[in-house]
Amino acid sequence: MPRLTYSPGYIGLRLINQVEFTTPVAKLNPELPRNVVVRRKPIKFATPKLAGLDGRLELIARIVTKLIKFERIEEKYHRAQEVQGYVERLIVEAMRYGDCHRPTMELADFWLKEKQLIHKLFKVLVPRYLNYSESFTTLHRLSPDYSLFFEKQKGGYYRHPQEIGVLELKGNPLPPIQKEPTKSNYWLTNVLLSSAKEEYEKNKNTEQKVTPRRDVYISKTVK
Amino acid sequence: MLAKKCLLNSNSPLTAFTAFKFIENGSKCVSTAVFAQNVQQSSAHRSVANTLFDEQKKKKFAEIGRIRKIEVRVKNVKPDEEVTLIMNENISTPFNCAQHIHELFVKRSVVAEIDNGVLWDMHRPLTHNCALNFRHFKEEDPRELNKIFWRSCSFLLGMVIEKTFKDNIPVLLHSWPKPDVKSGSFVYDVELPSLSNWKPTESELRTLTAMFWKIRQSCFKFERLDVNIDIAKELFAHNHHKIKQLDSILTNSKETHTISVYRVNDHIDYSIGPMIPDTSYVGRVTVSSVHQISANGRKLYRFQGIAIPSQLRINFFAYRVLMDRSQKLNRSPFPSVF
Repeated sequence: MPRLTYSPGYIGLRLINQVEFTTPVAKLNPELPRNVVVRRKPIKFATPKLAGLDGRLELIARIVTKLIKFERIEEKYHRAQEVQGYVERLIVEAMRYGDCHRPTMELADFWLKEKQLIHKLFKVLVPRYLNYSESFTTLHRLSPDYSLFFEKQKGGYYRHPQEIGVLELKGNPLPPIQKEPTKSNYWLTNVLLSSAKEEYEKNKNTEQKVTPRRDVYISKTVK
Repeated sequence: MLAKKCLLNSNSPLTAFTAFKFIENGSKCVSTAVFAQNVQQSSAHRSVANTLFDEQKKKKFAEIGRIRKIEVRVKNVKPDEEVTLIMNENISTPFNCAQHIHELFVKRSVVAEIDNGVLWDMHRPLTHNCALNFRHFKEEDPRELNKIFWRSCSFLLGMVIEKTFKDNIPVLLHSWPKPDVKSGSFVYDVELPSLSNWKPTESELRTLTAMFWKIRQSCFKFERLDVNIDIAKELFAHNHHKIKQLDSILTNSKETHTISVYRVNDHIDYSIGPMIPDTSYVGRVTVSSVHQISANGRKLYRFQGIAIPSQLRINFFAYRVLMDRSQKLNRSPFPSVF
C-alpha cells in the first residue's frame, strides 16, 4: 500500500512553538519535607441545618448563587427545574426596578449568598438579557447517575438512579453543550439523492398530465 | 458475502475472470501481483507508453539537481492553528506534509488547497513556499471535491473498459464530458469499431463492475506528470481520437504547450485534474449501463457508472435508487472533436 511507505519527499522538519516558563521548574514541583504528618480526617466546618421551610429556601438560594456565579451547573433534575423559576424571577425583578430600589436589593441580598454577585446581577446580567424575548436559562437532561445503584446504603436499601440535569444561563462564554448540526447538503450522496428526487417528482407530474385517472374525472362530472 | 462468478458466454467480447476473488481469500487488499495475474495482459502500446512515462518522470527528477528547502504553512491543524514545515522543493508533496502531522490527514484528505484556492493533487510535488489546507468529503461545502471524485471515476472507468475487453477487440477511448454530479452518473465515451449494436448482458456489466472493484481494492496511486504536448502525442500514439483532441487543445490555447497526464498502475490518460490520491477513495461502485450514441455522425458507446466515496456511507436501498437512475442515458454533451 502506498500509505505506509515513506518516500524521499517525506524528509522534512516540523517547527515547534516553544513555551516559555515564567516560573522556575523547581517551584512547579516542590519537594515535601520528610517529617510532615498528614492528618487523616478532614477538618469539618460547622454547617447550618437545612430543615423545614426555611432550610428549603436556604438550599434553593445556595443553588441560585452557584448558578449566577458559574453560569452553568450540574444538579439533580428536579432541583434544577425548581431553581430555574427563582433565577428567572430574580433577574426580571432586577431588570424592572434597578439597583436603587430597596425591596429588590433586599431580595438580591437574600438569594445571593456571595455579595459580589449582586454587582454581577445588576451590571452584567441585566444588560445581557434586556432585549431577550425568551427565557434566560436552559435546562438540559443528562443520563441518570447509576454510580450508587448497586451499593448498599446505610439503611440497607439500594439507591435509585439519580436524574441529573445541567442548568445554564443563556449567553454564557462557555463552549456550547449541544453540537451544531453538521451541514451535509452538498455531500456527494445527498447531492445525488436530492437530484434523483427532483427528477422523480418532475416525471411524476408529467405522467399524471398525460394519463389522467378516468374514474376521478367521471365522478366529478356526475356531481 | 458470497463469492460470485461472472458467467459469460464464449462469444462475449469481455474476458471472463473470477470476480470477487479477494473475498474468497478473506483479505481486504489485493496486491498488485495478483492483479496482474488476473487481468488481461497489457498490449504492446501500453508497455511502450509506460516506459516513455517513466523516462519523462526520471528526466524531471534529474532536472531538480540540488535540493532546496521550502516553507509550508499548514492551516487548520489541531491543537495549533498553524504548523510550519520545512520541505523539499519539487520533491515533497502535500501527502508528505500530511504524514508529518497526523494519520487522519493522510487517510481522508482528497486534495490540498494552496494559497489562493488552487486545488493541488496530494501526490503532486510542491513548487514554492505556500499556505496549505487539506480538504475532505465531509466538509460543509465539498462541491469542488465532488467534481474531482466524478472526474477520477470517469478516468478509472476508461481503465476498466480498456482492461476488460479481449485482446482481439480494439478499444478506442474518446473522452468524458465535464463532471456533472447532478446528472446521476459518470461517463466515458468509447469507440468500439469491431462491435456494432452491442448490448451488454447483465453478467457482462457485472464483469465490468468487478474489474472496477479490483482496481479499487488494489489502492493504485494517481501519478501526475506535466509533459510537452509532443510527448503526450507519443503517449497516445495508438489512439487517433486522443491525438486529435490534443491538436485541438494546442490550437485553442497558444500559451501553454504542456499538458497534465495521469497514470494509474499502467493506464495512462490526460486530464486537467486534479484527481483523488489513490483508488481506495472509491467506495461503493457500479458500472450500470452502456448506451449507443451518435456524435457528428459517428457511433460511440457511452459507458455509465455510479460510485460513492469510501468516506461516505449510504443505505443499500438508497444506493439502489441511485443505481436505477444511473441506468438512464446521461444527457451530458456528446463529444464534438473527431
